[in-house]
Amino acid sequence: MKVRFKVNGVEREIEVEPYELLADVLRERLGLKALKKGCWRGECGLCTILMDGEPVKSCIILAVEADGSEIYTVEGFSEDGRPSPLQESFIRNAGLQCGFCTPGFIVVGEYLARKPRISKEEVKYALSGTICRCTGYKQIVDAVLEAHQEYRKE
Amino acid sequence: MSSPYATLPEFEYARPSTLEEALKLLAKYGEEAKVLAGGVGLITFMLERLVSPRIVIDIKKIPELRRIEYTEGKGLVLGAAARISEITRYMDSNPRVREKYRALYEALSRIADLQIRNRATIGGNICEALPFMDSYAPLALFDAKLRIASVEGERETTITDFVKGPGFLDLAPNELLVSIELPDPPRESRSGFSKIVPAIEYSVASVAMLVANPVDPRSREVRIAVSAATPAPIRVREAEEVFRREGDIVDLLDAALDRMTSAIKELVIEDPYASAEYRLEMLKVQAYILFKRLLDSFLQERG
Ligand SMILES: Cc1cc2nc3c(=O)[nH]c(=O)nc-3n(C[C@H](O)[C@H](O)[C@H](O)COP(=O)(O)OP(=O)(O)OC[C@H]3O[C@@H](n4cnc5c(N)ncnc54)[C@H](O)[C@@H]3O)c2cc1C
Ligand code: FES
Ligand code: FES
Repeated sequence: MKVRFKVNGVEREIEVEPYELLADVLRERLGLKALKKGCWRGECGLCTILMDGEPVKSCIILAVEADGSEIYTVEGFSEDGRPSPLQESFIRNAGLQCGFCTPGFIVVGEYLARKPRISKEEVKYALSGTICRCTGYKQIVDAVLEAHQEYRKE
Repeated sequence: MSSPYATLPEFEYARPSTLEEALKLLAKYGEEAKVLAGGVGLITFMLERLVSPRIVIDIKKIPELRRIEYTEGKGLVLGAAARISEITRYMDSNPRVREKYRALYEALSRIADLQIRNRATIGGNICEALPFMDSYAPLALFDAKLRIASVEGERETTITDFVKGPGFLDLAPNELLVSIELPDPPRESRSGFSKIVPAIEYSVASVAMLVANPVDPRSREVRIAVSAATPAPIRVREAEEVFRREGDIVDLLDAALDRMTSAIKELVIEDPYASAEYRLEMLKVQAYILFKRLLDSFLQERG
Protein backbone atom coordinates (compact mmCIF):
# COMPACT_ATOMS: atom_id res chain seq x y z
CA MET A 1 0.00 0.00 0.00
CA LYS A 2 1.09 3.52 -0.70
CA VAL A 3 1.64 5.79 2.30
CA ARG A 4 2.04 9.54 1.93
CA PHE A 5 3.15 11.58 4.89
CA LYS A 6 5.31 14.49 5.90
CA VAL A 7 8.34 13.47 7.94
CA ASN A 8 10.41 16.16 9.65
CA GLY A 9 8.99 18.70 7.24
CA VAL A 10 9.61 16.72 4.04
CA GLU A 11 6.84 15.10 1.95
CA ARG A 12 7.50 11.38 1.58
CA GLU A 13 5.75 8.65 -0.34
CA ILE A 14 6.58 5.03 0.26
CA GLU A 15 5.18 1.60 -0.59
CA VAL A 16 4.64 -0.50 2.56
CA GLU A 17 3.08 -3.79 3.55
CA PRO A 18 0.05 -3.45 5.86
CA TYR A 19 1.86 -5.37 8.59
CA GLU A 20 4.93 -3.11 8.71
CA LEU A 21 5.30 -1.09 11.90
CA LEU A 22 5.71 2.66 11.67
CA ALA A 23 8.85 2.59 13.85
CA ASP A 24 10.50 0.10 11.45
CA VAL A 25 9.53 2.04 8.34
CA LEU A 26 10.87 5.31 9.75
CA ARG A 27 14.06 3.74 11.00
CA GLU A 28 14.93 1.08 8.46
CA ARG A 29 13.26 2.34 5.29
CA LEU A 30 13.64 6.10 5.73
CA GLY A 31 16.94 5.83 7.58
CA LEU A 32 15.94 7.82 10.68
CA LYS A 33 18.24 5.83 12.90
CA ALA A 34 18.10 8.08 15.93
CA LEU A 35 14.61 6.70 16.44
CA LYS A 36 14.97 3.47 18.40
CA LYS A 37 12.92 0.64 19.77
CA GLY A 38 13.48 -0.51 23.34
CA CYS A 39 10.60 -2.71 24.46
CA TRP A 40 8.77 -3.21 21.13
CA ARG A 41 5.43 -3.17 22.91
CA GLY A 42 4.37 0.29 23.91
CA GLU A 43 5.90 0.46 27.36
CA CYS A 44 9.23 2.27 27.38
CA GLY A 45 8.54 5.32 25.20
CA LEU A 46 11.89 5.18 23.42
CA CYS A 47 10.19 5.09 19.99
CA THR A 48 8.08 8.20 20.67
CA ILE A 49 7.37 10.48 17.70
CA LEU A 50 5.06 13.43 17.20
CA MET A 51 2.16 12.51 14.96
CA ASP A 52 -0.01 15.46 14.00
CA GLY A 53 1.48 17.31 16.94
CA GLU A 54 0.86 14.65 19.61
CA PRO A 55 3.44 12.28 21.14
CA VAL A 56 2.68 8.62 20.32
CA LYS A 57 4.63 5.36 20.45
CA SER A 58 5.57 4.34 16.92
CA CYS A 59 6.28 0.69 17.78
CA ILE A 60 2.56 0.03 18.18
CA ILE A 61 1.34 1.90 15.10
CA LEU A 62 1.08 0.45 11.60
CA ALA A 63 2.86 2.43 8.91
CA VAL A 64 -0.41 2.47 6.91
CA GLU A 65 -2.13 4.22 9.80
CA ALA A 66 0.23 7.16 9.35
CA ASP A 67 -1.06 7.87 5.84
CA GLY A 68 -1.78 11.59 5.51
CA SER A 69 -0.17 12.54 8.81
CA GLU A 70 2.63 14.88 9.78
CA ILE A 71 5.44 13.25 11.72
CA TYR A 72 8.41 14.51 13.68
CA THR A 73 11.14 12.19 14.91
CA VAL A 74 14.02 13.21 17.17
CA GLU A 75 15.94 14.18 14.01
CA GLY A 76 13.37 16.86 13.26
CA PHE A 77 14.10 19.40 15.98
CA SER A 78 17.64 20.56 15.31
CA GLU A 79 18.20 23.37 12.81
CA ASP A 80 21.06 23.17 10.32
CA GLY A 81 22.71 20.57 12.53
CA ARG A 82 22.55 22.83 15.58
CA PRO A 83 20.87 21.41 18.68
CA SER A 84 17.46 22.84 19.59
CA PRO A 85 17.07 24.89 22.80
CA LEU A 86 15.65 21.79 24.47
CA GLN A 87 18.59 19.66 23.37
CA GLU A 88 20.97 22.33 24.71
CA SER A 89 19.04 22.28 27.96
CA PHE A 90 19.43 18.47 28.18
CA ILE A 91 23.19 18.92 27.85
CA ARG A 92 23.36 21.73 30.44
CA ASN A 93 21.20 19.87 32.95
CA ALA A 94 22.79 16.46 32.36
CA GLY A 95 19.42 15.09 31.28
CA LEU A 96 21.14 11.92 30.15
CA GLN A 97 23.75 9.45 31.26
CA CYS A 98 23.96 6.38 29.01
CA GLY A 99 21.76 8.17 26.47
CA PHE A 100 19.67 5.14 25.56
CA CYS A 101 16.36 6.77 26.47
CA THR A 102 17.23 10.20 25.10
CA PRO A 103 15.54 9.96 21.66
CA GLY A 104 12.22 9.34 23.41
CA PHE A 105 12.64 12.06 26.03
CA ILE A 106 13.68 14.68 23.47
CA VAL A 107 10.47 14.15 21.50
CA VAL A 108 8.12 14.25 24.52
CA GLY A 109 10.28 17.03 25.95
CA GLU A 110 9.89 19.22 22.85
CA TYR A 111 6.15 18.66 22.98
CA LEU A 112 5.96 19.66 26.65
CA ALA A 113 8.47 22.53 26.59
CA ARG A 114 6.62 24.21 23.69
CA LYS A 115 3.25 24.23 25.48
CA PRO A 116 2.06 27.73 26.38
CA ARG A 117 1.92 26.77 30.07
CA ILE A 118 3.14 23.75 31.98
CA SER A 119 3.81 23.04 35.64
CA LYS A 120 6.48 20.81 37.16
CA GLU A 121 3.81 18.34 38.26
CA GLU A 122 2.43 18.19 34.73
CA VAL A 123 5.88 17.57 33.29
CA LYS A 124 6.50 14.75 35.75
CA TYR A 125 3.17 13.13 35.00
CA ALA A 126 3.53 13.54 31.24
CA LEU A 127 6.98 11.95 31.28
CA SER A 128 5.70 8.81 33.00
CA GLY A 129 5.30 6.97 29.69
CA THR A 130 9.01 7.18 28.98
CA ILE A 131 11.48 5.15 31.00
CA CYS A 132 15.02 6.05 32.05
CA ARG A 133 17.15 3.66 34.05
CA CYS A 134 19.99 6.10 34.77
CA THR A 135 19.15 9.68 35.64
CA GLY A 136 16.43 9.33 38.24
CA TYR A 137 14.40 11.74 36.09
CA LYS A 138 15.14 14.91 38.07
CA GLN A 139 17.62 16.23 35.50
CA ILE A 140 15.21 15.43 32.69
CA VAL A 141 12.37 17.32 34.38
CA ASP A 142 14.71 20.25 35.01
CA ALA A 143 15.87 20.23 31.39
CA VAL A 144 12.29 20.36 30.09
CA LEU A 145 11.28 23.16 32.48
CA GLU A 146 14.32 25.25 31.64
CA ALA A 147 13.71 24.84 27.91
CA HIS A 148 10.08 25.80 28.49
CA GLN A 149 11.22 29.16 29.86
CA GLU A 150 13.28 29.71 26.72
CA TYR A 151 10.56 28.75 24.29
CA ARG A 152 8.22 31.12 26.10
CA LYS A 153 10.57 34.00 25.41
CA GLU A 154 10.52 33.26 21.68
CA MET B 1 10.82 -14.82 7.94
CA SER B 2 8.77 -13.20 10.62
CA SER B 3 9.44 -13.77 14.28
CA PRO B 4 7.12 -13.01 17.18
CA TYR B 5 7.70 -9.89 19.31
CA ALA B 6 9.73 -8.16 16.58
CA THR B 7 7.36 -8.33 13.63
CA LEU B 8 3.69 -8.71 12.94
CA PRO B 9 2.04 -11.69 11.27
CA GLU B 10 0.92 -10.92 7.72
CA PHE B 11 -2.58 -9.58 7.21
CA GLU B 12 -4.65 -7.52 4.80
CA TYR B 13 -5.72 -4.03 5.77
CA ALA B 14 -8.95 -2.15 5.10
CA ARG B 15 -9.80 1.41 6.02
CA PRO B 16 -13.53 1.89 5.51
CA SER B 17 -14.79 5.47 5.55
CA THR B 18 -18.38 4.68 6.45
CA LEU B 19 -19.99 2.53 9.13
CA GLU B 20 -21.93 0.60 6.50
CA GLU B 21 -18.73 -0.35 4.71
CA ALA B 22 -17.13 -1.50 7.98
CA LEU B 23 -20.14 -3.65 8.86
CA LYS B 24 -20.13 -5.25 5.41
CA LEU B 25 -16.47 -6.17 5.81
CA LEU B 26 -17.18 -7.63 9.26
CA ALA B 27 -20.09 -9.64 7.83
CA LYS B 28 -17.88 -10.93 5.03
CA TYR B 29 -14.85 -11.92 7.08
CA GLY B 30 -16.41 -12.69 10.48
CA GLU B 31 -13.92 -14.42 12.76
CA GLU B 32 -11.09 -13.87 10.30
CA ALA B 33 -11.35 -10.12 10.83
CA LYS B 34 -10.12 -7.95 13.69
CA VAL B 35 -11.20 -4.39 14.30
CA LEU B 36 -8.36 -1.90 14.75
CA ALA B 37 -9.13 1.27 16.70
CA GLY B 38 -6.10 2.74 18.50
CA GLY B 39 -4.19 -0.49 18.00
CA VAL B 40 -2.57 -0.27 21.45
CA GLY B 41 -4.03 -3.62 22.42
CA LEU B 42 -4.46 -5.29 19.04
CA ILE B 43 -0.94 -4.62 17.77
CA THR B 44 0.72 -5.89 20.96
CA PHE B 45 -1.49 -9.00 20.85
CA MET B 46 -0.52 -9.58 17.23
CA LEU B 47 3.17 -9.11 18.06
CA GLU B 48 2.78 -11.85 20.65
CA ARG B 49 0.83 -13.98 18.15
CA LEU B 50 -2.14 -14.13 20.48
CA VAL B 51 -4.23 -13.20 17.44
CA SER B 52 -3.47 -13.52 13.73
CA PRO B 53 -6.36 -12.08 11.74
CA ARG B 54 -6.59 -12.44 7.98
CA ILE B 55 -7.78 -8.87 7.72
CA VAL B 56 -7.49 -5.84 9.98
CA ILE B 57 -10.32 -3.33 9.69
CA ASP B 58 -9.25 0.18 10.75
CA ILE B 59 -12.31 2.09 11.98
CA LYS B 60 -10.59 5.38 12.86
CA LYS B 61 -11.49 7.15 9.63
CA ILE B 62 -15.25 6.72 10.12
CA PRO B 63 -16.41 10.18 11.27
CA GLU B 64 -19.49 8.84 13.04
CA LEU B 65 -17.29 6.75 15.32
CA ARG B 66 -15.23 9.76 16.39
CA ARG B 67 -18.11 11.76 17.86
CA ILE B 68 -17.84 13.41 21.27
CA GLU B 69 -21.01 15.32 22.07
CA TYR B 70 -22.85 16.49 25.14
CA THR B 71 -26.48 17.56 24.94
CA GLU B 72 -28.28 18.95 27.96
CA GLY B 73 -30.91 16.47 29.10
CA LYS B 74 -29.70 13.75 26.74
CA GLY B 75 -26.23 13.19 28.07
CA LEU B 76 -22.81 12.45 26.68
CA VAL B 77 -22.35 10.47 23.48
CA LEU B 78 -18.93 9.01 22.72
CA GLY B 79 -18.13 7.39 19.38
CA ALA B 80 -16.36 4.08 19.93
CA ALA B 81 -13.23 5.33 18.15
CA ALA B 82 -12.95 8.59 20.11
CA ARG B 83 -9.47 8.69 21.58
CA ILE B 84 -9.01 8.84 25.35
CA SER B 85 -7.07 12.13 25.07
CA GLU B 86 -9.75 13.66 22.83
CA ILE B 87 -12.41 12.86 25.42
CA THR B 88 -10.46 14.32 28.34
CA ARG B 89 -9.58 17.39 26.28
CA TYR B 90 -13.25 17.86 25.39
CA MET B 91 -14.07 17.66 29.09
CA ASP B 92 -11.31 20.10 29.99
CA SER B 93 -12.81 22.66 27.64
CA ASN B 94 -16.32 21.95 28.98
CA PRO B 95 -15.81 21.95 32.75
CA ARG B 96 -19.53 21.49 33.42
CA VAL B 97 -19.51 18.24 31.48
CA ARG B 98 -16.29 17.21 33.22
CA GLU B 99 -17.87 17.71 36.66
CA LYS B 100 -21.05 15.84 35.67
CA TYR B 101 -18.98 12.82 34.60
CA ARG B 102 -16.13 13.37 37.03
CA ALA B 103 -15.55 9.67 37.76
CA LEU B 104 -15.12 8.96 34.04
CA TYR B 105 -12.76 11.90 33.66
CA GLU B 106 -10.61 10.77 36.59
CA ALA B 107 -10.41 7.24 35.19
CA LEU B 108 -9.62 8.22 31.61
CA SER B 109 -7.02 10.83 32.45
CA ARG B 110 -5.05 8.21 34.37
CA ILE B 111 -5.07 5.42 31.78
CA ALA B 112 -1.52 4.32 30.94
CA ASP B 113 0.48 7.37 29.83
CA LEU B 114 0.41 10.45 27.59
CA GLN B 115 1.47 8.63 24.43
CA ILE B 116 -0.95 5.72 24.91
CA ARG B 117 -3.89 8.03 25.70
CA ASN B 118 -3.19 9.78 22.40
CA ARG B 119 -3.89 6.52 20.53
CA ALA B 120 -6.14 4.34 22.66
CA THR B 121 -9.89 4.72 22.15
CA ILE B 122 -12.79 4.32 24.54
CA GLY B 123 -14.26 1.51 22.40
CA GLY B 124 -10.92 -0.31 22.28
CA ASN B 125 -10.58 0.00 26.04
CA ILE B 126 -14.03 -1.55 26.46
CA CYS B 127 -13.48 -4.30 23.87
CA GLU B 128 -10.05 -5.32 25.14
CA ALA B 129 -12.04 -7.05 27.87
CA LEU B 130 -9.42 -7.41 30.59
CA PRO B 131 -10.69 -6.94 34.16
CA PHE B 132 -8.56 -3.86 34.85
CA MET B 133 -9.80 -1.70 31.96
CA ASP B 134 -10.18 1.72 33.55
CA SER B 135 -13.32 2.70 31.65
CA TYR B 136 -15.40 -0.09 33.20
CA ALA B 137 -16.29 1.12 36.69
CA PRO B 138 -17.25 4.67 35.61
CA LEU B 139 -19.32 3.40 32.67
CA ALA B 140 -21.21 1.09 35.05
CA LEU B 141 -21.62 4.01 37.46
CA PHE B 142 -23.25 6.27 34.85
CA ASP B 143 -25.55 3.56 33.44
CA ALA B 144 -23.82 3.77 30.07
CA LYS B 145 -25.68 2.34 27.11
CA LEU B 146 -23.58 0.67 24.45
CA ARG B 147 -24.81 0.70 20.86
CA ILE B 148 -23.80 -2.39 18.90
CA ALA B 149 -24.34 -2.67 15.14
CA SER B 150 -24.09 -5.32 12.44
CA VAL B 151 -25.46 -5.60 8.89
CA GLU B 152 -28.57 -7.09 10.47
CA GLY B 153 -29.32 -4.01 12.56
CA GLU B 154 -28.64 -2.35 15.88
CA ARG B 155 -29.05 -3.27 19.50
CA GLU B 156 -28.41 -1.62 22.83
CA THR B 157 -26.79 -3.13 25.91
CA THR B 158 -25.11 -2.12 29.17
CA ILE B 159 -21.46 -2.42 30.15
CA THR B 160 -22.26 -5.07 32.78
CA ASP B 161 -24.18 -7.20 30.25
CA PHE B 162 -21.59 -6.62 27.53
CA VAL B 163 -18.45 -7.55 29.48
CA LYS B 164 -18.75 -11.16 30.60
CA GLY B 165 -15.24 -11.83 31.89
CA PRO B 166 -11.57 -11.77 30.85
CA GLY B 167 -11.47 -11.79 27.05
CA PHE B 168 -15.17 -12.54 26.87
CA LEU B 169 -17.71 -10.08 25.47
CA ASP B 170 -21.31 -10.40 24.36
CA LEU B 171 -20.24 -9.45 20.82
CA ALA B 172 -20.69 -11.57 17.69
CA PRO B 173 -17.85 -11.67 15.12
CA ASN B 174 -19.94 -9.57 12.69
CA GLU B 175 -20.77 -6.91 15.30
CA LEU B 176 -19.15 -3.57 16.04
CA LEU B 177 -19.39 -1.35 19.12
CA VAL B 178 -20.54 1.96 17.64
CA SER B 179 -21.09 4.36 20.52
CA ILE B 180 -21.38 4.78 24.23
CA GLU B 181 -24.14 6.95 25.66
CA LEU B 182 -24.03 8.26 29.20
CA PRO B 183 -27.37 9.69 30.32
CA ASP B 184 -27.31 12.83 32.47
CA PRO B 185 -26.40 11.90 36.05
CA PRO B 186 -28.69 13.04 38.89
CA ARG B 187 -28.67 16.81 39.37
CA GLU B 188 -26.05 18.16 41.74
CA SER B 189 -24.30 14.82 42.00
CA ARG B 190 -20.60 14.31 42.69
CA SER B 191 -18.56 11.36 41.55
CA GLY B 192 -15.03 10.05 41.63
CA PHE B 193 -12.79 7.14 40.69
CA SER B 194 -9.99 5.40 42.54
CA LYS B 195 -7.67 2.52 41.66
CA ILE B 196 -4.81 0.61 43.23
CA VAL B 197 -1.87 0.11 40.91
CA PRO B 198 0.96 -1.88 42.48
CA ALA B 199 4.31 -2.45 40.77
CA ILE B 200 2.54 -3.90 37.74
CA GLU B 201 0.96 -1.15 35.69
CA TYR B 202 -2.63 -2.30 35.94
CA SER B 203 -5.18 -1.81 38.68
CA VAL B 204 -5.97 -4.70 41.01
CA ALA B 205 -8.98 -2.95 42.57
CA SER B 206 -10.98 -0.03 41.15
CA VAL B 207 -13.98 1.80 42.55
CA ALA B 208 -16.23 4.48 41.09
CA MET B 209 -18.78 6.23 43.28
CA LEU B 210 -21.50 8.83 42.89
CA VAL B 211 -23.41 10.73 45.57
CA ALA B 212 -26.46 12.95 45.04
CA ASN B 213 -28.56 14.84 47.60
CA PRO B 214 -26.73 13.38 50.61
CA VAL B 215 -28.90 15.07 53.24
CA ASP B 216 -32.39 14.07 52.20
CA PRO B 217 -33.06 10.31 52.65
CA ARG B 218 -35.95 10.41 50.18
CA SER B 219 -34.08 11.88 47.26
CA ARG B 220 -30.52 10.90 47.99
CA GLU B 221 -28.71 8.48 45.79
CA VAL B 222 -25.40 6.70 46.17
CA ARG B 223 -23.99 4.57 43.37
CA ILE B 224 -21.03 2.20 43.64
CA ALA B 225 -19.32 0.33 40.82
CA VAL B 226 -16.25 -1.88 41.05
CA SER B 227 -13.87 -3.40 38.53
CA ALA B 228 -10.35 -4.84 38.26
CA ALA B 229 -10.86 -6.86 41.46
CA THR B 230 -13.60 -8.86 39.75
CA PRO B 231 -13.55 -10.61 36.35
CA ALA B 232 -16.12 -8.15 34.98
CA PRO B 233 -17.43 -4.76 36.21
CA ILE B 234 -20.22 -4.79 38.79
CA ARG B 235 -22.75 -2.19 39.95
CA VAL B 236 -23.10 -3.04 43.61
CA ARG B 237 -26.83 -2.33 43.95
CA GLU B 238 -27.08 -4.26 47.23
CA ALA B 239 -24.80 -1.66 48.83
CA GLU B 240 -26.52 1.25 47.11
CA GLU B 241 -29.87 0.23 48.59
CA VAL B 242 -28.57 0.64 52.12
CA PHE B 243 -28.41 4.41 51.55
CA ARG B 244 -32.18 4.54 50.99
CA ARG B 245 -32.72 3.82 54.67
CA GLU B 246 -33.68 6.63 57.05
CA GLY B 247 -30.87 8.23 59.02
CA ASP B 248 -27.72 10.21 58.55
CA ILE B 249 -25.89 9.13 55.41
CA VAL B 250 -22.59 8.86 57.30
CA ASP B 251 -24.04 6.29 59.67
CA LEU B 252 -25.04 4.04 56.78
CA LEU B 253 -21.58 3.69 55.27
CA ASP B 254 -20.39 0.73 57.34
CA ALA B 255 -23.54 -1.25 56.65
CA ALA B 256 -23.26 -0.45 52.95
CA LEU B 257 -19.65 -1.62 52.78
CA ASP B 258 -20.62 -4.84 54.58
CA ARG B 259 -23.31 -5.42 51.99
CA MET B 260 -20.78 -4.77 49.26
CA THR B 261 -18.44 -7.37 50.74
CA SER B 262 -21.09 -10.06 50.99
CA ALA B 263 -22.41 -9.28 47.51
CA ILE B 264 -19.12 -9.62 45.65
CA LYS B 265 -16.88 -11.70 47.94
CA GLU B 266 -17.24 -14.92 45.93
CA LEU B 267 -16.31 -13.14 42.70
CA VAL B 268 -13.05 -11.46 43.68
CA ILE B 269 -9.96 -12.50 41.69
CA GLU B 270 -7.10 -14.32 43.40
CA ASP B 271 -3.90 -14.34 41.33
CA PRO B 272 -0.14 -13.75 41.63
CA TYR B 273 -0.60 -9.97 41.40
CA ALA B 274 -2.85 -9.69 44.44
CA SER B 275 -4.76 -11.95 46.77
CA ALA B 276 -8.54 -11.86 46.90
CA GLU B 277 -8.33 -10.69 50.50
CA TYR B 278 -6.14 -7.73 49.56
CA ARG B 279 -8.30 -6.78 46.59
CA LEU B 280 -11.47 -6.85 48.67
CA GLU B 281 -9.87 -4.80 51.43
CA MET B 282 -8.65 -2.25 48.87
CA LEU B 283 -12.15 -1.96 47.41
CA LYS B 284 -13.49 -1.14 50.86
CA VAL B 285 -10.73 1.31 51.73
CA GLN B 286 -11.11 3.16 48.45
CA ALA B 287 -14.91 3.22 48.73
CA TYR B 288 -14.52 4.70 52.20
CA ILE B 289 -12.08 7.38 51.05
CA LEU B 290 -14.14 8.27 47.98
CA PHE B 291 -17.29 8.53 50.09
CA LYS B 292 -15.60 10.96 52.50
CA ARG B 293 -14.17 12.95 49.63
CA LEU B 294 -17.52 13.31 47.88
CA LEU B 295 -19.35 14.22 51.09
CA ASP B 296 -16.68 16.79 51.94
CA SER B 297 -17.13 18.42 48.57
CA PHE B 298 -20.84 18.90 49.31
CA LEU B 299 -20.05 20.38 52.72
CA GLN B 300 -17.47 22.75 51.30
CA GLU B 301 -19.97 24.05 48.82
CA ARG B 302 -22.53 24.81 51.52
CA GLY B 303 -19.75 26.58 53.46
C1 LIG C 1 1.99 0.29 28.21
C2 LIG C 1 0.52 0.12 28.36
C3 LIG C 1 -0.11 0.57 29.51
C4 LIG C 1 -1.49 0.44 29.66
N1 LIG C 1 -2.08 0.92 30.80
C5 LIG C 1 -3.43 0.86 30.92
C6 LIG C 1 -4.11 1.42 32.04
O1 LIG C 1 -3.48 1.97 32.95
N2 LIG C 1 -5.47 1.34 32.09
C7 LIG C 1 -6.19 0.74 31.10
O2 LIG C 1 -7.41 0.71 31.18
N3 LIG C 1 -5.59 0.20 30.04
C8 LIG C 1 -4.23 0.24 29.93
N4 LIG C 1 -3.63 -0.30 28.83
C9 LIG C 1 -4.46 -0.93 27.83
C10 LIG C 1 -4.91 0.10 26.81
O3 LIG C 1 -5.64 1.12 27.45
C11 LIG C 1 -5.79 -0.56 25.80
O4 LIG C 1 -4.96 -1.42 25.06
C12 LIG C 1 -6.46 0.42 24.88
O5 LIG C 1 -7.40 1.20 25.57
C13 LIG C 1 -7.15 -0.29 23.78
O6 LIG C 1 -7.75 0.70 22.95
P1 LIG C 1 -7.39 0.77 21.41
O7 LIG C 1 -8.25 1.79 20.81
O8 LIG C 1 -5.94 0.91 21.22
O9 LIG C 1 -7.90 -0.68 20.95
P2 LIG C 1 -7.34 -1.68 19.88
O10 LIG C 1 -6.02 -2.17 20.26
O11 LIG C 1 -7.50 -1.10 18.54
O12 LIG C 1 -8.42 -2.84 20.09
C14 LIG C 1 -8.47 -3.61 21.26
C15 LIG C 1 -9.44 -4.80 21.03
O13 LIG C 1 -10.78 -4.32 20.91
C16 LIG C 1 -11.32 -4.61 19.62
N5 LIG C 1 -12.08 -3.41 19.24
C17 LIG C 1 -11.61 -2.13 19.24
N6 LIG C 1 -12.61 -1.27 18.91
C18 LIG C 1 -13.72 -2.02 18.70
C19 LIG C 1 -15.07 -1.71 18.36
N7 LIG C 1 -15.48 -0.44 18.18
N8 LIG C 1 -15.96 -2.72 18.24
C20 LIG C 1 -15.56 -4.00 18.44
N9 LIG C 1 -14.30 -4.36 18.77
C21 LIG C 1 -13.39 -3.39 18.91
C22 LIG C 1 -10.13 -4.93 18.75
O14 LIG C 1 -10.47 -5.79 17.71
C23 LIG C 1 -9.17 -5.55 19.74
O15 LIG C 1 -9.50 -6.88 19.96
C24 LIG C 1 -2.26 -0.18 28.65
C25 LIG C 1 -1.63 -0.62 27.49
C26 LIG C 1 -0.25 -0.50 27.33
C27 LIG C 1 0.39 -0.99 26.06
S1 FES D 1 9.86 0.69 21.81
FE1 FES D 1 7.98 1.66 21.59
S2 FES D 1 7.43 2.05 23.61
FE2 FES D 1 9.20 0.85 23.84
S1 FES E 1 20.16 7.92 30.36
FE1 FES E 1 20.38 5.80 30.48
S2 FES E 1 18.33 5.13 30.30
FE2 FES E 1 18.12 7.21 30.48
